[in-house]
Amino acid sequence: MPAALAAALHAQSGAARWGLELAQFTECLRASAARQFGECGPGAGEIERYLKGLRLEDLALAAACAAGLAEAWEYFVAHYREALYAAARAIVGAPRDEERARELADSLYADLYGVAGATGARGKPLLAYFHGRSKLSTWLRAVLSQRYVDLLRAGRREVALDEGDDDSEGARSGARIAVAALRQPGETRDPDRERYIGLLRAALLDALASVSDEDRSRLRAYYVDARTLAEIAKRRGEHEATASRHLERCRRELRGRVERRLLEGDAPQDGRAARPGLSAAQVELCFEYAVEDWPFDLKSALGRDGGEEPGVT
Amino acid sequence: MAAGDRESDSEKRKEKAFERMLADALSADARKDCPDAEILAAFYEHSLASADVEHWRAHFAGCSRCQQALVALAASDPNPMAEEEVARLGELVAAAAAPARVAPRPRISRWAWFFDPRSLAPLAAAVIFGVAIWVAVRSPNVAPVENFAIAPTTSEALTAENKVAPAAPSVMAQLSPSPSEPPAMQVPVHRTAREMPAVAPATPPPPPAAMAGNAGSAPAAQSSDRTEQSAEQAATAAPAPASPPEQQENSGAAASSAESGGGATPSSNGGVVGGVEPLNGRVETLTVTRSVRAKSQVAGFVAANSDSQIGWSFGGGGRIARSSDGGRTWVQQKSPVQTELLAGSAPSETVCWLVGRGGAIVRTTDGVKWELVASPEQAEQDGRAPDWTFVEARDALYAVIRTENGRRFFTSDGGKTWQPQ
Repeated sequence: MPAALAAALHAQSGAARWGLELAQFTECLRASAARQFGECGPGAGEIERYLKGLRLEDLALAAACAAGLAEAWEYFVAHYREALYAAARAIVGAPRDEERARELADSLYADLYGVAGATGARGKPLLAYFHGRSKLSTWLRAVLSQRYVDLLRAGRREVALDEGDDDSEGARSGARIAVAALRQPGETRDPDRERYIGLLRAALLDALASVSDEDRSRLRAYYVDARTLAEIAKRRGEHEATASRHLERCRRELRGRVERRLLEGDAPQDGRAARPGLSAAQVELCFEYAVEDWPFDLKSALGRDGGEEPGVT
Repeated sequence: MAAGDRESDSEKRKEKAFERMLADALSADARKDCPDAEILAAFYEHSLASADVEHWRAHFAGCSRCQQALVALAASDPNPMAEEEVARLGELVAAAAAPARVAPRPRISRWAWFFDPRSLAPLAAAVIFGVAIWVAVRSPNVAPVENFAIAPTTSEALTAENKVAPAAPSVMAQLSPSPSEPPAMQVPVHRTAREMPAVAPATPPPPPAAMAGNAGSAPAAQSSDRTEQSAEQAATAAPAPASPPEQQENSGAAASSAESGGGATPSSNGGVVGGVEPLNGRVETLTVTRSVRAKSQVAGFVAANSDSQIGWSFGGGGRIARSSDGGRTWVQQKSPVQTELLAGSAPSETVCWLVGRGGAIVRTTDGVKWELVASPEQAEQDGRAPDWTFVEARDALYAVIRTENGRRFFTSDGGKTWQPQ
């Protein structure tokens, strides 16, 4: 990147106001261009046009906040925090559920700063993932929106799978629990527990990979999009009983494959050692731990492991 | 509890746990193609490159997660709405409110295929239509010659940015150009979803030689792609209306349709459009028209509203003409500028704003006499006024304008002063 261009954009962005050095800002510009163009290797002109079209002021502010510069954070809190709460309220539907809206906004706010886990140590700030292609305010709302939708969908799946549940606040409590789970310190876990759940999950992913497109579509419609059997049947032009039978068959076959995989173990592959099969009792344990351990699933669903970009899993 | 019962319960819990993991795994699998928040935000703001817009639009058409995220994003948009709209929303929210509970086998309303109104904020459902239309008419990477005429439905309330009030709880619908669409000046409101044919998105043709001079920047290049894409779509549309001399060759039209099974399908101009099912059961749809520049000097035209016979055409050399009979005849009007006019917005039959090259901003408040509005000095670069390629006006006082590279300014005093947005 030409030094003159970086300097000009640095000046235009007002980064100096936050104490963001030219080198730091240049790195942000590079990251943004890399995100946009990947390995394409566009011409210098195209990169320049792209960079000049960025929201430079917002990018500088986000970068300064990600770098932990105090003035930038003060400005961010003063100008964006209330807007974040307002957006959360609008999304959640407060004043009916002011508490949930505030929890949602607070959980995002913590991630923006980069607080992670029980220790409270600073992880990678979410603001580091802002690359200036949109307004910062819109990006914040987009993160909030995706996060809330994922929470709801996870909470809804949680309720939908509990047949006969008369809890009229099922979905909302599910989401509430989910939000609370994000904020509570993690428990100390039995290492075998993690391993068994990991094996179960890997076996499930492997089994899913072999599912036909039609069955995958059926399963997604039911478990991800939460369609009723009647809607799935109508969409596929079949009877509801037929849809129900197919779904049950898919589920049964998948569980069978998962259990077989756990029992048989894994052959050596791609440099990985073979994994011996589990005993029937250990397979039972896998499922037992899965019964108890749904917050683990939720965190994975939200893609908050390993500093992943918001909205990407 | 008997041992058999305990075993049965244990098996049930394991089955549920398995289903839970299955749901999470399927959800994660479905999400891997979803855009990150920045792309979602850029799509919402119409600041994605046109090729990216097409790609993500296709994804959104089939992804309920992203559709729901767009709904939530629209719901959290802080742009103000008119008081009448707020009052109306109160009624709509009451009508659309559903139990907060999600049943064990969720029963989604027949007209809310892709999102559960009981989960999402009722306000989100109520505002989506109006905000979606607002998004739909805003041009991503604005072409230098595009302008839109919005045909509102039953509500005439306009927001600060020309949002159209939702008439009822909204559904996500597909915006598709209709080959049989009448000319842009005559903008019908289709009464049933079944009248709205679906049209596959057109593949962008190569940019014309005439636009080569504008291809100085990415947005301009994208604009020319979009213009040509519009031209190709328009080529399949109905012939242009009786139009002033040097009128465009044709007009493109896009229409929305709504009934069950919509889903948030982005519109052909990069926004998200919702169809409407009012409480009386009749499906109202919006029609958004877009005129394109072909080989003539006239850039386009703008109508006051769908029922109005009043409209203006504008284009090269600062030319402005007005029709009061739905485009059959045109009367040339005196223009205060001589530079090309590129975009317009007509919030009423007497108020119209036009913008164009070299900082040109003109406005009429009586439908006849045009006055020059000073361009914001802050927009100048290297001592040169920018090309304004987009305008949205609420009335004679409030308007938002935008340059080719996305810099926005707004005025609330008829252009006496401008603020960056």
